Amino acid sequence: MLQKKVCVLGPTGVGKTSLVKQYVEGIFSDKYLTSIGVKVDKKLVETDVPVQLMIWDLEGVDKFCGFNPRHLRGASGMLIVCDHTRYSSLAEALEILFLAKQHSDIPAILAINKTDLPVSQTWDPSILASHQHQFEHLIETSAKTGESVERMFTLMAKLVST
Amino acid sequence: MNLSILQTLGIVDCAILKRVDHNRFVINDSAGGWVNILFPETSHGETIHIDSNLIFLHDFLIDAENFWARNEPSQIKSGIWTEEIGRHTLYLEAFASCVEDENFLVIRNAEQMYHERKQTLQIARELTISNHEVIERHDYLNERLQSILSEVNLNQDKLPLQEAIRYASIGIIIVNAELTVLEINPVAFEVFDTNLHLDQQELFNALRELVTRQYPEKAMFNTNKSWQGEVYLHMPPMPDKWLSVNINPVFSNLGKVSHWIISVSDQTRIKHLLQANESLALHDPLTGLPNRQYFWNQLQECISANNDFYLVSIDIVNFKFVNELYGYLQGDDLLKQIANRLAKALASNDFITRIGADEFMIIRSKNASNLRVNQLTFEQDALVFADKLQDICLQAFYTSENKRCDLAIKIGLTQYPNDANKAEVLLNNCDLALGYAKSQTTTSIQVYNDELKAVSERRLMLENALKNAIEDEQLCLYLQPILDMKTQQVVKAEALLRWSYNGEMIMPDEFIPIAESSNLINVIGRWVISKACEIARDLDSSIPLSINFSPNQIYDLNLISFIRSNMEQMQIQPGLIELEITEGILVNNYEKMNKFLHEIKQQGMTVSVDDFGTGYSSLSYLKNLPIDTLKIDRTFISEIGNTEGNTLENSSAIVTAIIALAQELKLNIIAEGIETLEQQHFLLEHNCVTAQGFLYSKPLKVPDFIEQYVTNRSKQIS
Repeated sequence: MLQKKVCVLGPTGVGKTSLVKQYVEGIFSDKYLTSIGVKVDKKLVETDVPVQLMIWDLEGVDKFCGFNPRHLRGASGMLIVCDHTRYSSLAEALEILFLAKQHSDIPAILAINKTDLPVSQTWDPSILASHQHQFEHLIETSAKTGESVERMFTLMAKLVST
Repeated sequence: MNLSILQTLGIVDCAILKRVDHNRFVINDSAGGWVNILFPETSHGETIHIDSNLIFLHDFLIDAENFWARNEPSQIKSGIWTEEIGRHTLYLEAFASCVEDENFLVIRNAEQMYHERKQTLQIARELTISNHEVIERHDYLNERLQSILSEVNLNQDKLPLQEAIRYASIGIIIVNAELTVLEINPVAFEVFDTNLHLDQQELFNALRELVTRQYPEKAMFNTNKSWQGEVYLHMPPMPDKWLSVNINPVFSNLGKVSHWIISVSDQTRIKHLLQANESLALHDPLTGLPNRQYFWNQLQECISANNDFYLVSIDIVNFKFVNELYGYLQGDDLLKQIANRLAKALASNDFITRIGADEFMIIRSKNASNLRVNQLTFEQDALVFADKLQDICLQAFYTSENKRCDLAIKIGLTQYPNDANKAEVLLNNCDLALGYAKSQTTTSIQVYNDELKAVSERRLMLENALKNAIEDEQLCLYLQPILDMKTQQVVKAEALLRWSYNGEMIMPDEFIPIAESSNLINVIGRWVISKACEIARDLDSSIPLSINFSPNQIYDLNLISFIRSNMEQMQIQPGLIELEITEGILVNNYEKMNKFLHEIKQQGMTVSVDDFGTGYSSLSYLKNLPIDTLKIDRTFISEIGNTEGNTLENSSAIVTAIIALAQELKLNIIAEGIETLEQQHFLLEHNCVTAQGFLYSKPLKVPDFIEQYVTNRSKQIS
């Protein structure tokens, strides 16, 4: 069976682990629990060609934990996550994409997470539009309600299996 | 003591695997328990094969194999990962090491480390996120209110403003230039405490007093600068609070402060989170150095103890460009490196803090015995120390991506008790000394002296006077002709700004930096454009004018439409106005400048690069930007004919190189500061035919210029 490595990257507190947990286990918790290090989950995706995604959930990139390009080795795709209630997370996510692209030219999907909450007043869609070309897909998600979570990982599976 | 005993005592909790082949190992020693979960049904001495079922570890073995191939007596580690096996969750960390030509894989139970790290980072990250949210809310409201205040006449219509602040989630106070409260929202009262029964003016006054008392060196509301920070609110019987405060000026069309927007929010919850971790409460989470609060206590203690010390203020030059160039994460990493280097330079009694984003402060204590041994005065010791700080920062830094980054620092010093005996005055002095060092290109270290205070007072006086300079018609433009040296005909003129104040002619070198730092530059810049268009019309469209452009003007959002409307109003051709920019702008704001210059060119105007040769512009900038003319800096021209040392040779070589460069790039070239016929001859000989300088004419008042170069020329023609 086809196995593909996918890395989940993003700033702290945007809901990376929540998205993976919602997708793999169907569980969501409102409490913010910071991730430490790396956790790898597996999930079989039944697309035209069944793909087993190996989802590398990486610790948020911030001043306490830098970006480690080693984790991108062998990855076929990356999921960059930002939080639409916190505009600064978009700038940080774009910076992480920039760093990642210096090491690996694999396709990326941008998850704009927490859509169950009101969008930040400072959110600037034009910034998003100007960086749209760097992503294969831009998907608004809610790990809480599950909105578009399955669809996003299915798109990722299709992306990495072609 | 052998490893098994250590394992049993719980001092180490790991499995040691000896490599026998690619991804194959023999368990040398193990703690049992979790190791059996990780490698089920494997006993001591048995060979195990680590396959892709253990995804993370299998991936780490790629690095490990490369490492072992190098046969170095050191180790590499994997970082913590979580392994879920059945109903068990393991927190592990792996090391690859090489001992006496044998290769080992050590897997450690990192559960305790995982939980400790998680506990610390949970608080730190909640804080970071909360801080981001607070900053975003303040920024958003400030931007919105700035826009409303610039569009609405508050005397006639307060409604848009009231609506904008009524439902805001943070406290907002709007005061006029005289600091009288015009608007305030309910949250501002809640943040303080409704039980205090303060009226709106009393509330603002109380907040103002808090801010000015706790940040005396910032001269809040006396300068036109924005400020943001935290204040501690202690007003019994209400509970103590920490407030996040943003103070932002709003400027009128004439560049004067018309209003102040003060936003305030309660940070107490965040501070409580901080107190949950004492180390975070007193230390900067990024660098681990003491924070401002800790520093302030330390400074007060040193003063109480009446021990001599120097206060040393350090600023990293242009650090914001580092952030822009490498990104904030790399910028943070570099700040940590700088903090480490500075900390290593300290003596045991010294104290260092990170006092601002890219600012550090050191309390350098007097060590009498050291001074005796080294035969230095305390001031000499402080200067040697400052030199040392500078030297250690001059050595190249490297980002985590291994990119070289050269940084420089500026240092200001002041001494207790000679210069002052109060903490706030010492901070002020240090700020002045640092400010002076930052404004100089040749000085990096500056010790406070009374002259600096006088300079600062003059600067403040000029800043206040400059606000009225346009209204009181104290500004004027002089014109200096630019000639074709072959025909001696005027082909262009440079408009030069002058300020006549109280009978003194103040030169742009002095007042433009003041205008730039006090937000007056856009107003003055626009005045120059209007006036230049007016003069171009009066010159009867016969001579193009070039005007100097400040880097800060690219942030004037509607500048292009302002230029266009002025040209239309004066009915002059766009080609008659040229913008002169300096090299620094090109380097520091390339993308923004590129866009701006293309828009300028679309209007039909031309662009020249002033003082060329003194900056650091790369050839690719010149090639890619829409530039028409290079102006060779006067310092190179003045050396032509100067026979001392190698200067002549060097300057002549630079001038000829610039001329060749301009020809290659098909740019016009103008030489500045021609004072002798020898210089003229040299330039003509090297195919530079256009120049300006005292040899032809000093800058002239407009009527004199018209008389000399327009009227006379017309007469000659007729």
